[in-house]
Amino acid sequence: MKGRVNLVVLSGFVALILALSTHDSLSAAQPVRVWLSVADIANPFFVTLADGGKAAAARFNVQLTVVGANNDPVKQSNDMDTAIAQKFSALLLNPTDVKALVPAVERANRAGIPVLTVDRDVAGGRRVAFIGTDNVRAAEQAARTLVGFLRRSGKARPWKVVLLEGIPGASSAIERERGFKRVLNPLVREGTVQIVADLTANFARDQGERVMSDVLSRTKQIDAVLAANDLMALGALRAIELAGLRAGSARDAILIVGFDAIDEAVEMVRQGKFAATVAQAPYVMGYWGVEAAARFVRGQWKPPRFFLSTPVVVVTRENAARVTELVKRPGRLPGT
Amino acid sequence: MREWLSQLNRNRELFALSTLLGLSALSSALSPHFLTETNLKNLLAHVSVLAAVTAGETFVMLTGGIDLSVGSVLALSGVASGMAIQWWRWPAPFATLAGVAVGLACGAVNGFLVTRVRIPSFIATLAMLAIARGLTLLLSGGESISDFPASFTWLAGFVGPIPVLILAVLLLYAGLQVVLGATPFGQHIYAIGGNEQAARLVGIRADRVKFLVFSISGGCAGCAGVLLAARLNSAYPNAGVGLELDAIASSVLGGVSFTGGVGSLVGAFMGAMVVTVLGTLLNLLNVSPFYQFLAKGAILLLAAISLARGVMYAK
Repeated sequence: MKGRVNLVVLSGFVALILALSTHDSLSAAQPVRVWLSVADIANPFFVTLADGGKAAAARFNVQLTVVGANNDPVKQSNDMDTAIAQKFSALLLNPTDVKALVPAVERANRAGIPVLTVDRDVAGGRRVAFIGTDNVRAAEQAARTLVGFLRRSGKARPWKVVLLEGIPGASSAIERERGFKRVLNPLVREGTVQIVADLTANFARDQGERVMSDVLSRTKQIDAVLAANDLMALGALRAIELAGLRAGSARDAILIVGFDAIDEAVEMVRQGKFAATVAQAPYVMGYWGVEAAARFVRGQWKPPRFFLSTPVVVVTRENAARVTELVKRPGRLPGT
Repeated sequence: MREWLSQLNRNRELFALSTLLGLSALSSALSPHFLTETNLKNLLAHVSVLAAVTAGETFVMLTGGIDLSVGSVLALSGVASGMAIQWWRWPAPFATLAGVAVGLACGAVNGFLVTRVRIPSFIATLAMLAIARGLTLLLSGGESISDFPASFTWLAGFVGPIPVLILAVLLLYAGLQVVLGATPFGQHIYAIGGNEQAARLVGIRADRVKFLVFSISGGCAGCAGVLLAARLNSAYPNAGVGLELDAIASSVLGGVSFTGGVGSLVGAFMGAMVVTVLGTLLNLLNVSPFYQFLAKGAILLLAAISLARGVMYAK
């Protein structure tokens, strides 16, 4: 009896797997099969990246499979092994870790499957190209924008700044911190800026609120918040409002500059609660990534250089209305 | 020394209480900002979410089980109530109830899996941890649902100097304390945690009790999810990642035995306070978060050591 039940369950599973996999074999016009793994599908940034990839997939006859790694390098590495076994034509990797994914990339190399990295790169293995933002330069732009707002605000010096950093060890967190500090440190030395708190909120919204609340109970004398992503900045905004303070570019308000320009943050810029946010172009990363993979596999394209940096837009009140179109124009893939 | 420790062992909440007092004293000595009104208000608001989740976790742990799904269930409930308000335009009280109901339902599924399908709670709730997070992401499309009407966000406000959040959670604790301390059901929970085989032999319907206990835990996580959404003015799909570990740590700090049968809600609440005060202290001191893990681990270990006195063996 029990054996029969097991048999039924097993054949059910087999039927399910077959049903799910039939569309793989039905494709007629030789589409290129591309696999895209993003670090976290809960993050709107990666949702947009995947959207760009899907748009390019439709345009360049690509069969795109998108998987999420839940910020877990082990899961991502396993996913990648599965993709190698499935013999995809190209792998687009948005690595969760600089080093942990190197062995998986090397396994793809040995299997002869080209790998491209998007948004973040890995430290080894052969990659065809790395398509992403120059995070250090973008963070410098964010910090410079903040300093510009501070100068115009007429606030008393030294300007008291809170830094909210990303997940310790993540390359985007490290590079953004480097960019922030490259601009701010000279100002700290000359006494124009004082960094009141430099804490991590792990790129998370609830932790942004938590950390900023704690900072505000230490001192309410804060002129600006510079956050390594918008989710933390939105959390900080909530903490500021809950503390009965104002966010904005007025003289008595706290300036907030975020990073990533997710929809909600752009809306805050439009309302004047955020001074600025930096729009990377995840849509273009996804689009270029899939386009490059397809062209490379078909032998139509060679990368002109390894690092293809996607455009960055500083979003302020002036251009906030146009930001979606500004960052969703894929433009021409370098080398085409 | 040994006498002191055995004394601690008898009053299992004492460790949490003394740690809490010690930590608070240390905090006010190290940072002039600790004993300020703002900080105390923040502290109470921030402990609320963890405390609500810990209450449910404590119920499950008292029966000797464990609920790993609370963080994910919290996120799912928050997103559910956010969707109800923002997408379907439900009135805030109904949306709040919807969030709690979603939590209860997840808990009930856990309870069903443990009592009917007979899957160990560690595994059943581990599956729920993944499933609830997945549903949260699917439903929300990975994006936060934000900007709720004032009829919902008043939960993040204050009655005088006291956050509504903590009042809601204290109300929850009061209700649960009555259930635990003054009903046969409460006694059955302790009996099952003490010796499930014996409890079954004397006619306690252990499966029913355990089913309800998991439902309560889900419901508590649901409440916490709604409260956090109100606090953040946003239902955030990645909320509560890793929260189950803080909840378990809080319960253990508060003297709840990991093998069941021993512990109290008062202790659990103090455990949650210890975890929260610790985080706040390190933020106030602008200390790197790396140390937060070390400090949390060290305190948990100390609590466990003090509670391990008199235990014959551990597995």
